[in-house]
Amino acid sequence: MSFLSGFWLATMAAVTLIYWVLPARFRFLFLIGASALFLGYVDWLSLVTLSLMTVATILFTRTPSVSGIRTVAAISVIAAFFLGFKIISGPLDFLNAGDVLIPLGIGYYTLRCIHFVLERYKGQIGRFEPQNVLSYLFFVPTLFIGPIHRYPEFARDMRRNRWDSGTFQEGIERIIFGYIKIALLGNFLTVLFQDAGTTFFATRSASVVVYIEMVAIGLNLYFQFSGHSDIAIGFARLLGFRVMENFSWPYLKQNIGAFWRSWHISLTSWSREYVFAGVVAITRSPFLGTVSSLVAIGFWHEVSLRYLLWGLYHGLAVVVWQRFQTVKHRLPEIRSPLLRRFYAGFCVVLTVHFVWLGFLLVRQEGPMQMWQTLRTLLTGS
Amino acid sequence: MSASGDRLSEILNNGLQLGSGRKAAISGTSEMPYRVLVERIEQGRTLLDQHGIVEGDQVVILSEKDTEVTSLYLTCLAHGAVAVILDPQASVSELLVLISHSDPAMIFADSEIVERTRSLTQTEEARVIQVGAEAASKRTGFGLLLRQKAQQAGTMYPGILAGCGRTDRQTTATGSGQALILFTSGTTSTPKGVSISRDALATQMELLQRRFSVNADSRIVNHLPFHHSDGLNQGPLLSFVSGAEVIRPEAVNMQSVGDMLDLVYQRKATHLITVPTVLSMIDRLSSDYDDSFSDDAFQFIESTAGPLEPGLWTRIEARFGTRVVNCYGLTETVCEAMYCGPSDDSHRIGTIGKPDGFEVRLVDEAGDDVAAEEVGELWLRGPGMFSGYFGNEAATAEVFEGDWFRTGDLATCDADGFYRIAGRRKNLIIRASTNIYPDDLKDVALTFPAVTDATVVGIPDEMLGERVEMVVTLDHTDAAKGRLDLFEHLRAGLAAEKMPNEVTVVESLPYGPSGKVELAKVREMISRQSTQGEGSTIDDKVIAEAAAAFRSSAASLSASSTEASVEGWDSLAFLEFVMRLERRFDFRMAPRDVMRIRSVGDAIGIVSGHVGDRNGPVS
Repeated sequence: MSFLSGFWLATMAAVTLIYWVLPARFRFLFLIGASALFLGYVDWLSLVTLSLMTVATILFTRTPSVSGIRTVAAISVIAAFFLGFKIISGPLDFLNAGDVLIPLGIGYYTLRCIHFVLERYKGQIGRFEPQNVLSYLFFVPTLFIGPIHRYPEFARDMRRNRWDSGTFQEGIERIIFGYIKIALLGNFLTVLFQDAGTTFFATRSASVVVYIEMVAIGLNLYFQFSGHSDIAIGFARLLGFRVMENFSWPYLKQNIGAFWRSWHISLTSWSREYVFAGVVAITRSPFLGTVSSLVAIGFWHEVSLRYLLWGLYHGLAVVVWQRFQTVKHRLPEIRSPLLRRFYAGFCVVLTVHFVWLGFLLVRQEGPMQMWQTLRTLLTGS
Repeated sequence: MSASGDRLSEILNNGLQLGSGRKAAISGTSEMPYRVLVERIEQGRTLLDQHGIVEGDQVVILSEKDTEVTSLYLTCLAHGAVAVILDPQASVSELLVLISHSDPAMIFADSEIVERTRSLTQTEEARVIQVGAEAASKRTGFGLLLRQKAQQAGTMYPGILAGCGRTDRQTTATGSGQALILFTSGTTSTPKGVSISRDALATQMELLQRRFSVNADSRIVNHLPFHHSDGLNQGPLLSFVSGAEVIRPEAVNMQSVGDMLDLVYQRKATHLITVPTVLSMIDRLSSDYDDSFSDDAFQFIESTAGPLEPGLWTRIEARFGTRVVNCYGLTETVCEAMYCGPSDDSHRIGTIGKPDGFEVRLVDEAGDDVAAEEVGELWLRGPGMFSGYFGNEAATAEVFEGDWFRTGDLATCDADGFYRIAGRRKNLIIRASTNIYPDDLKDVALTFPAVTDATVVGIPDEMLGERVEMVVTLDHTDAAKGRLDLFEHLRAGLAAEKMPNEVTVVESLPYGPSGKVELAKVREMISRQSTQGEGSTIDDKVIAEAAAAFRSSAASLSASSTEASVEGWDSLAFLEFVMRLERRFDFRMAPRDVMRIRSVGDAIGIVSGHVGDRNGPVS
């Protein structure tokens, strides 16, 4: 689902207008209806899937306290939907169904459902009104591309919901900002840079061509993804909701740990809260926790060997960085301010290139193609 | 129709006209539009007429329900009856004493309370009407589709009003001159019921409207209980006479204080009326709440019913960008007598500001006025003053010197006319803005057979203002059992808000040459005991482990510390914290519990639960 369409703009405008014209007691009901209608129109399969997942989520968590067995059962049902679609639509697709069968936004609402179930299990969410859960899971601004916002914050925003011209203005600004990122910085300037660079270096250096492709992929991913997040966050603000931020200058971070705390924040924090914390709670091993959480992020994108490798690539990098922190104090301290700035700049460049390389490699079909791309990048052959 | 009643009648009539039909008069926990409120007042007056209630009769109101207390209180005022508002959480013995002392002609009480205090219904002189919902009649089939007859009368309030015609007239009551009785103390001995005249009430309402700019556009969030004047009179009454809306949040505690701020934000409130303890809770909330008072409509926070610590005051004003108006008043002054704000010329942090509507004297022990900057007892005089303690002339005579009321508080006045509280002469503890008279607790403790002597003192506390500590001597040596049994006894005899924080058993109490217990020495005894036991509580131990794991000082940590507020709290340090707790308390935390910990308080709860399960002492 691209937000770069007149249909989406018209939807945002109509939903916002009707939402604020309606009396307060009907607004959330209207949002549920509008989301369902829109989802059904755009992708009926997604509406059916989300509805079934929502029913499962509510039914399994209706008891005063949610037992471990109920939690496992609920997550199994939700995950079965998700993995089923992921497997048949990914490289392991035995039905050759391709993209046709994957429900829009399934990755996002799967994680929201699991979040709700686990928080009920942990007791952080008490008794709830099913209508509030419906509002949360059928929240049209974040349905397709996140952020994977959390129920307690959403429920709080429902309680605080009111017309506020300042918040509305922020929403408009955020949406414009998002469109600039997607259309101007991503679709136009990055593509222009890649085309021009590739044309110029095509006959001169295969290595530079691959490097330019890597940079372009990295930049475009950020502009597209953070631009769509901006629009989702902006749309939510038009409706009086403050949805969590998804990016915080990730390419300016000095280490891989900081990168993962600033890139797709709603996903990485989800993985830290549920995968990392869950694995650590059982095994008491931070190493396993870290690697598992990054591998889970990989599989969330696609259940495949290449995403397994991508998850391991980042997971091991974070572990190495964490271990490095424990011995860093033994290294000589850099005293010169100039050298310190240079060192900081070097760390940023190193981190961003490590990340971009990951994006480049995971685009390849398998380990052989990954190796070939890496070789071309480094040697030009 | 022109009104010819007293001043209170005039401002009530004004309220009847100001509040438009559909607008909410009260909202929050339960809602009631002006239309319904006015209807209830008019029908309620007929009900009182039917029961022979005439001007000046006492009517006891004893309910947890905000809308019902509001409509009954305003009905009494409009009718000229004297409303007696009691604490619905008071113990049975307290209630029986207070009701008997009030000499009521009629009682409105929650059905649960009537059930709890069966003897209420046996009061022959007073008619008792239960407050609550009528039992729903079963309807089946087509009956489900038919609306219940709107005017079907019930036997309980407010259902009973359906059978009453509307007294469709403006109030012209003058009453006996009295409007309200609120009790400030009294358990087993002679209670002190503050009797407030209609004129005093009207004077204070007019003053508050002017001082706080309360009008029909105001939305006042007030969470204080209705059996306290600040909850009742600065809540529904002030709102009603101004045509404003009073918003009542759920009971406020550390878990729900954020919900109250959400209500302030969502409803675009204009005023928040609260107490220092709640400001202290607000101070501990995360930055998610920083925009709570950001709306242009919001005017200020009023802090009342207790001393406001200057540091807290400064932090709240700086963080939320709003003014905190610190007020000084007592039930005896109906509402406030001194105001530190909202105007700049009356605002100075650390003071109680300047008087409004009252004259002030600072007087020494000989009854002479003290010099500037010197400490003297605060005396007040003004038209907003109470009339006396109901049926307790001795107590009334004790606090009045002519028409001057001796507050029992010590204060100074600086050259600019700002007053500052310097101490307290009377024997009173103010915990979380609730006045607690030590003698009330002592009286109940001494009715416990094993207690041979008792005293109660206030100990300074950052959050509560003061903690209530009871020190007793027992006639046997099993102090632990005696202490637990005494707690049970106190719980049965005291309202929840009066229960002591701690009971300490000692060999003997320190008496001075005059034969009085030396309270300073009692405080020293308590301090010694708490120092000996420092670090022995589960809270202290968990915080110590958190400090070690997160590489921070224990002093900087508290139960509310989270990943966001503790710099060293990352995933590895968190794991270390968990493992330290497991080693220290010798148990393995379940995965559910590990994942549940988001604050040090969560960890304390989990450890406490575990230690409690084991039923053994913590090493």
